[in-house]
Amino acid sequence: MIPRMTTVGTLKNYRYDLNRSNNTMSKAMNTVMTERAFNSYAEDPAIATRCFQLRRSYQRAASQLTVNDSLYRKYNQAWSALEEGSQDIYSISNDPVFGSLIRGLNGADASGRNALGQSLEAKAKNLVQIMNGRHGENYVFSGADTLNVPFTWEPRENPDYIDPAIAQAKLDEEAANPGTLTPEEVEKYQGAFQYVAAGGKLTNNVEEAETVAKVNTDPNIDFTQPSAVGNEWYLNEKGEPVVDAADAQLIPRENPAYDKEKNTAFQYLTSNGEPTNKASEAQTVLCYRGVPVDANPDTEDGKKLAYFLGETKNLDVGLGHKEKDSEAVSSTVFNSALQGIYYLGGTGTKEITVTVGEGADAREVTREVPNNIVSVISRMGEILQRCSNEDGSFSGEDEEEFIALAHQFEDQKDLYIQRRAELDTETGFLRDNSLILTDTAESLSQQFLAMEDVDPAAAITDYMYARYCYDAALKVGNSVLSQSLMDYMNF
Amino acid sequence: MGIGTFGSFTQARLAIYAAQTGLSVTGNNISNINTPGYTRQRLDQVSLYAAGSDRYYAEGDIRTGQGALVKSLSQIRSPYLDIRFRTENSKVGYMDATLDGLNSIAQILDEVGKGDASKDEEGFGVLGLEIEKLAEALKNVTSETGHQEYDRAVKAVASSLITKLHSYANKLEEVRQQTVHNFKQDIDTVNSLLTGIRSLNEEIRKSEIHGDPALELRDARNNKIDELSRLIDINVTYSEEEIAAGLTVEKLTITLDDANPDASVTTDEAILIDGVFAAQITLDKIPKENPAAKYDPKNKDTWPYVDANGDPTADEAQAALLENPNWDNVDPDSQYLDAEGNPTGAANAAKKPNPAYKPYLDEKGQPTADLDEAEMVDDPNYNLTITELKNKNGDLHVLGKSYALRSILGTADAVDQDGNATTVAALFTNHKNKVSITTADTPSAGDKTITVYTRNPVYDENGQLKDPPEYTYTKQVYEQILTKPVSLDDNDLYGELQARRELLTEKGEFTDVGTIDNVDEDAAGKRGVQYYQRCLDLLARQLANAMNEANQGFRVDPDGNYITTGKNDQGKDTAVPVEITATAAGGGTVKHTLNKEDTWDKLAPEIQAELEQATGLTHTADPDNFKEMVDAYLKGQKYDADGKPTIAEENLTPRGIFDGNVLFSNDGDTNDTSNITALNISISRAWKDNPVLVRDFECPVGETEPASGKSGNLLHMEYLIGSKGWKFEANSLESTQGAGEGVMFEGTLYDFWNDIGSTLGQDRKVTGDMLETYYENALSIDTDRASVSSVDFNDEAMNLMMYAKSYNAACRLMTTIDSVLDKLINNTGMTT
Repeated sequence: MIPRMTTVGTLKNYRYDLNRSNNTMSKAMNTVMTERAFNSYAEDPAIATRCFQLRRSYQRAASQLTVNDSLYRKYNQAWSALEEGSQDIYSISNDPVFGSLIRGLNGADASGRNALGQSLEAKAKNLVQIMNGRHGENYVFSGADTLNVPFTWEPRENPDYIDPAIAQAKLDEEAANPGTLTPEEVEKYQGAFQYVAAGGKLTNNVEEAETVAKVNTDPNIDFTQPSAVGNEWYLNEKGEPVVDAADAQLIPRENPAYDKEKNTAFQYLTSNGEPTNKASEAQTVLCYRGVPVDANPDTEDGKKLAYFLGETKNLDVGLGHKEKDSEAVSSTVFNSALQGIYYLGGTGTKEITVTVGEGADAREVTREVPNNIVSVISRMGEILQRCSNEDGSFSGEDEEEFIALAHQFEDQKDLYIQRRAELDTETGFLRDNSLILTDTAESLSQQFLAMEDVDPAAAITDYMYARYCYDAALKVGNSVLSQSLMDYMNF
Repeated sequence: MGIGTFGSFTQARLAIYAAQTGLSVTGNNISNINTPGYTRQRLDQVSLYAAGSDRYYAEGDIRTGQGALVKSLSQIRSPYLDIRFRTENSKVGYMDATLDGLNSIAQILDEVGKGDASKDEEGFGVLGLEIEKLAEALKNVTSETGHQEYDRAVKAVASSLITKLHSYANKLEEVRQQTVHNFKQDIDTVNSLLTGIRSLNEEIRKSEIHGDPALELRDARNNKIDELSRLIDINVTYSEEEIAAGLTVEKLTITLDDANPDASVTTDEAILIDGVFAAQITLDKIPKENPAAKYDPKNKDTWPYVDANGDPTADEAQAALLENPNWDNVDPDSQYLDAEGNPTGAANAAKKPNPAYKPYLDEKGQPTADLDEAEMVDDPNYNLTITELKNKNGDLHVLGKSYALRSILGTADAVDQDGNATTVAALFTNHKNKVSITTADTPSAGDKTITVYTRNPVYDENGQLKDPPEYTYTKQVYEQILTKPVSLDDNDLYGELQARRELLTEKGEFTDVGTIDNVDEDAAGKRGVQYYQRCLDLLARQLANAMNEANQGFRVDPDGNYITTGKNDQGKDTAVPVEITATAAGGGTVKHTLNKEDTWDKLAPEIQAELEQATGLTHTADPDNFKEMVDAYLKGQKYDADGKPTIAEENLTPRGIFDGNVLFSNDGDTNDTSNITALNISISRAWKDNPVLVRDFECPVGETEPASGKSGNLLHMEYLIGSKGWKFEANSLESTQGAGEGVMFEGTLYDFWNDIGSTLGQDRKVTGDMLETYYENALSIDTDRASVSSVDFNDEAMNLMMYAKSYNAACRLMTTIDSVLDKLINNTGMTT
């Protein structure tokens, strides 16, 4: 049976169809206006989700690129600094006076040694200044300690110095709780004091020290026998032997535990290794992040330097950053910590054997020299400045030390160049990585835009078609109720 | 019977009348073509035929009809199409309301195509972008560690992220409130429709009694039923109700349409309308909970009972019974009081309440234990109850139910009117052969059961009553069941109302396991506003917790040993490892350097004992337990047996060097990290006041401070945000702790956010598609209905012509009859 199409039913259907047609046109218009293939998750959940994932990857790549480029600029600056430093180092090698010193001593240019010494000192200082350069607000060569200047010149500290306050506190603690310290530790802390005051109290203040008669140090004196003429126990103020203690010179009573060789009561050492408590008299040494760069690896300072050399400051530059046990996996991050000491030849000292003299006078000597090229240059400068003003001759064993240092300088110069090349390689990596990240970001951008962006021709065609349909629907509406039998009735 | 001489005039008159009435009906149909719900009417005509025999024999006994009789007016409707339409209409209502709600949520959470175009961020979204910006800010501070402007930039980005979370959470709450409003409005609409249908039923009933079919009232009622069907899936039945001997009227009954898939549930067929009786739907209320009374094992005021000693207890088994203060010390059945305060025995006694336990809040927000004083608020599950059926006077409806008549022996057991046991025969104490026993409150309270026993005498072959008399007996049971409120189950409804309710209550994966097991096994797949609110809360909570945890800890040396500040021999500050010293079992001391890689098993027994003793904590298998112990040891904190710290924070003497602080809290004025949600997450007080981002916990050898540019911890935090290792567990929020265990999503924070949008998109798409399908179905059925019931111009034009022609013909008939009778009377056989 043919369904009975009624006026009311026709109108209901028409209203629905017209609304649907209008809706389709509205969607098509929206697509044209926004130029997007979809404007909500509901339109295409899978593609919308995928696009957000791609956009996130794009953002990641973009931020990695920002960090990478910043890093690249830092490394470029670092390379330039090393390049500038290499000019100083080459200029030393090329200095005629230095050349003559390398070739053989007592050359014609000996008179210029003092000047060369001053020049070396200046170059050492200049190298330090170069290595203390900053990129933005950060020091380039201070490893992970980017806010603090990496290299400083500090008074040389006596490694055996014991702070009397610390020693006294330890001894007091031991007195209160016997057994807190081992006998060796007790002896060590007692050795921090030079004198003994009245009552057995240990002190470094000579004024406080108890006075005693100066004892005759003549090895022939037999202290098992009484003091007598020919066997005088004491010395008077003139250094003459005397029998009676009353005639003897009064001197402060020394602490027998005090180690005179280590000079534990003195904080600093002069360039000659003499103990002193005045920073101004002390030899200045190069320090990296407050630690003398030449420190023995076995010492606390040496351990610090070893840590610095292995220290990292990792950054995510798109190498697939991963963690294991909450620590970054090293192969997935970039270590941006440039340790100045590494580029200057490392830390500590090494023994070097060189031949001194010529012909029959030639002899081999072994000297301990610093590994750090700035220390080497500085030390050479000190020695050359100690040379005679008149003929430039070396004093004492300076000549042997200088030759050892000069050999070390040549070795470390090569190492410096080699490490500068390493930095160049890392800089190159960052440059290449920048290109990769740029390509990645571009590719990701193209991918999500290809999914999101609408083809304008298709969108406009769709819209025009929807518009055409809507117009047609309106026309249909105009005539849907125009005629019925009622209109043809004629009574 | 033959027609009389002037009978033909009547025939013509009836024809004119019928045609005129037909024209009137057609006119009414045309007039109401635009009246919503109008059903076209039809004139029911019959041919008038007078039966019977003529008094005298007549040659050529041809019997003709005596004209047309207008019998009645009727509507043309298809009950089958009505049922189909209303079923489909409830689906349209459900999907439409669901889509409406989801669209409201999508306006907040759907970030497709969104973003700040002025910053070239169009299409990157808003909240998702903020998450990525936080990672980017951390990346920048990783690169530029120690510069406060970068620290501040992280804070600014975090603050912006929080603002977005607040904004989204607030807007979602607004959507929830609006949905509550719509839900209540729907309830009002349903109730108004039910009342309206009841009134129309009364009017129609009255009209029917007076012989009027009340077609217009039926149209109005059908309109209301259609409207109701959109809100609730209903079943409409018509039956005949006998109101007097031989007089019946139509009775309309509307019930819920068995929407609950659980076949054992019957509440989904509850009666809404039964003739002139109608129910209402009400939203359940519960006393307002006092949040401070929520069970806390450390707070005795939250324990509901007291034990025999009067001490508070949370264990119901330990609770004392509520004693009856007026007990006579004799009757054990009145020694206690039940929950209603009535005397009872031990078996039904209530538990003795803890006077300090006040689980409710009154109107003024004051705690109370008295239910009558408590402020009543909407049931959080928005449970609904269908009230008793009442007529317009408020009388309760009584449903009659009768059981089959059956024979019974006179010796069978029975109960008399006073409740005494007897036999059936003994019930007949007088000459009457019928006895009715009425039992109150049976089968349930308020009901009546009437048992009618009938005695039938047995006669002998002569038709005489036997001597002694013999009887047979029958029994018939009638029940008068008083209408009662029906508490609806979660799935008893379907339609717009249910859609609104599900938008308010459904929590998807956050649903309680008990609900899934016992109420709705599909609940985990239904997601309303609460699902999205909880997703946002989970996102905020996970982010805050992870960042807070990452930003706090104790400093370590390069070997991972926890350190503290000491002095070297030169008098300089230096880092020294934290050691635990204990007395060895055989004398002497045992030392252990505490390392971040330590585990409980790595420690010597003496060290383990010392750790427990120093912290007051006992080792358990909980993986976090050892970390708690180490943290307590390094902090210098000691806990009592109840797990409470014994040393005030300001008096602690730490053994290690603690660094960092919380970044996010639940209130910007504090550092409280408990119960963080999307609505309350804030930059902590500490972070507001100072830069607190921890760059690293590892210090160089001998140092107690990390290097100024060291950024391992910042890199770790940056990694965390982008890490795929986030596990979002549905039961990790306080409000969702009944939800199933396990991970509902694993991926990055951004992925989770993307997944929320994607899930919402999927739901919208499916709902939209289904709505379109249902709508088209409904439209198709409605068109079919219209094809049956609605007015059509062509039809009515035909009717107009037909009735006009009929009218003309009838008039012509009358003229013809007049003419022939005139001939017969005036011009036949008479010649003058």
